[in-house]
Amino acid sequence: MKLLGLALALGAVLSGPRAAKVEVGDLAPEIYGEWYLSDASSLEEVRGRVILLDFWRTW
Amino acid sequence: MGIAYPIAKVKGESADRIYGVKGFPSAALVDASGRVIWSGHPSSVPRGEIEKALEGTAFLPRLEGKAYKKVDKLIVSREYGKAHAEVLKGLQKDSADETLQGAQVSIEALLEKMQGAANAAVEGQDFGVALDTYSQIEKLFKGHEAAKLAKADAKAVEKNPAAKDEIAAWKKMVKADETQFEGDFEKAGKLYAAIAKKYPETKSGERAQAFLSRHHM
Repeated sequence: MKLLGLALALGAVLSGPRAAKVEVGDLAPEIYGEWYLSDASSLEEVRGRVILLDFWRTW
Repeated sequence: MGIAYPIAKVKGESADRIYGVKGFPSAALVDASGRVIWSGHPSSVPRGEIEKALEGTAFLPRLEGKAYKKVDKLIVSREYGKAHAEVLKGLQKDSADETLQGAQVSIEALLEKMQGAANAAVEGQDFGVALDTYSQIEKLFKGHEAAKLAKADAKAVEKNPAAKDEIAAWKKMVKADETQFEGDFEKAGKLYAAIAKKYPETKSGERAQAFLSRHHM
């Protein structure tokens, strides 16, 4: 499977000042967290694949 | 539940802040080089972008069937040089084996594509990208003649006086990219600014400048 879907559960509150953020053309910053259902536990390990990051959160 | 994709649980607001997620659901598409090529609502992921990105991956199709277990294992572990040798060995025994014929074609096509990309980068004076591509060929095709060739070609690039600035800029670029990858945009911005200033005439300098422009720095 070349395309790797990655769902991200973000337990975060969207507030606070907006610092610099990723733009199209930038390197996708590392996702630091607990990885499940995966042999990899970092974006670095899946470099070379096409990845769809699907952001979600728990309320 | 049949969830067939990895899930990363992130505490705090680090990921959504860095990725600029303003609402949910939200998605981003990342290509093989690790760059974001699209972001938006997951219902509108552009199919064309996905296919284009997939073409840029250095992955080979798997081989099904017990007889091809060894080759398939090498393909999965991305030891394409060894896989190629194994395929040729199999074809010596049975030259009419269509699965192995197909594998030979796809391995050689990938190698040709990568060599073409490296050579095009040299032509375009994009020596950092050329070195990077040569080193990928070396890694993927270890044990194959192509790996030795790539090593020699990389050496020639390193010795080329015209490549000196470009390579120096590229090395700094790798460092800046790492910093950006870690999510420290401010520090990365400083590194990119230094590259753009010192090496304005290089491809890396241009890329550093593009980062600064994207981020209004």
